[in-house]
Amino acid sequence: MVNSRKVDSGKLEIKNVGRTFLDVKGNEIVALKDASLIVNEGEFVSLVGPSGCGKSTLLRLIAGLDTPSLGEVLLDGTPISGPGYERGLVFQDPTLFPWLNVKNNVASGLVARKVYNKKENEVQDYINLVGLTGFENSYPHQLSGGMAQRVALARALVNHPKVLLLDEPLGALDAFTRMQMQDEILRIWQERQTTVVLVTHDIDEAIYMSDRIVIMTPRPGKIQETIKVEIGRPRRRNDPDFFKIRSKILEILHFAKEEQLSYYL
Amino acid sequence: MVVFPNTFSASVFLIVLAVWFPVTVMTSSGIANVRNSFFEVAKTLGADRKYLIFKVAIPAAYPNIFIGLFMGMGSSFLTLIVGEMLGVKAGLGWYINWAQGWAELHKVYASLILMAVMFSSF
Ligand SMILES: Nc1ncnc2c1ncn2[C@@H]1O[C@H](COP(=O)(O)OP(=O)(O)OP(=O)(O)O)[C@@H](O)[C@H]1O
Ligand SMILES: [Mg+2]
Repeated sequence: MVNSRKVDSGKLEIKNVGRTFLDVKGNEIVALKDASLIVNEGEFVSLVGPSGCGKSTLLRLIAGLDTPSLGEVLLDGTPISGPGYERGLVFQDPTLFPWLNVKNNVASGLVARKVYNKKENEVQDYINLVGLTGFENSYPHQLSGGMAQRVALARALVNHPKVLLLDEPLGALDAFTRMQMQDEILRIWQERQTTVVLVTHDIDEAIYMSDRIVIMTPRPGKIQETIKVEIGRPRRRNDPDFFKIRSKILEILHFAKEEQLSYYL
Repeated sequence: MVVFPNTFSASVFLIVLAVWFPVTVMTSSGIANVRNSFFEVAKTLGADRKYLIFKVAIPAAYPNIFIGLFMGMGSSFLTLIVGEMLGVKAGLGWYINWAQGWAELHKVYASLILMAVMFSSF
């Protein structure tokens, strides 16, 4: 079974990373300024912060879809030079290949890496793992949003990534599906012990799921503070400690944005 | 009629041109419009260049490629009629000209109706 194989590495080191974009007029936009962060192997870290603070930018740098203007990102000591299957990525939009059915979507990573013949049996394992048994032959347009997002998750997991990068993967889901998916992601994370970096707008989601929460602030996008969530697992959603952490995060975000508070309210 | 030794090869050339143009334009615009996120997802799954072209770009552009093929099919029929009127000694286009020569207008109209029915599906 898939869960018996554990990944034993996946340490991310983000060292003084900066990323600057040019807007249409040629002005510089500092999407990310001097960000440093170490994510340990097997750790679950969330990035939270208001829109435009560089969360997706940081995630794309880790994924290798973009390159830093300054600094470097290391995975297990090796600089990241481009995208690779050991860093799986799931976006808010599931981005399933509409011309492939569920089974072939999940298999696409194995096909791309030319290991499908050897690992074909794992495809079914991961479809079962995300609870989509019986939907192997459905096409993406026949799935609900939550189901499509599960397929995207299975598609990333089938490659046994050392690091799972999630960019608001549950942002478009209703509250119930969302909570269910949170538990599912946690279960997979605990079974597989991958490193997870989750971008979310939802502070409660970050508290419920993460070992550590990285709080970011915009203009220029930077890491403001990192706080540990020292609540035992399994966590209860109505745990009174949640409230303390929640108000601490809100305080940090407000404090940092006093002069622009009206923008967020 | 300088470039082509006979009307047959000239007609073939015209038809090839009529098919090639829409197919090429629709395929290339289809590929240019493939969502970048498809390529990005494929890259994070470990795709190489070959996979990106044959397993992402082309399948993603299928709808456009098919439209191009249908347009090409339509215009190839039209061009075929022109070719037949120019000199190919067979087909409906040729038949219309021939019937016209004999002033058999009912045959001309019958052919026109037949063409209309046949081509309306494209
Ligand atoms: N390709 C790009 N070209 C120009 N500017 C960009 C580009 N990508 C991001 N930016 C800018 O960088 C900043 C940070 O963007 P980013 O997408 O990382 O924000 P975010 O924290 O993910 O926000 P959200 O929560 O809304 O997704 C924004 O000001 C954005 O305009
Ligand atoms: Mg974002």
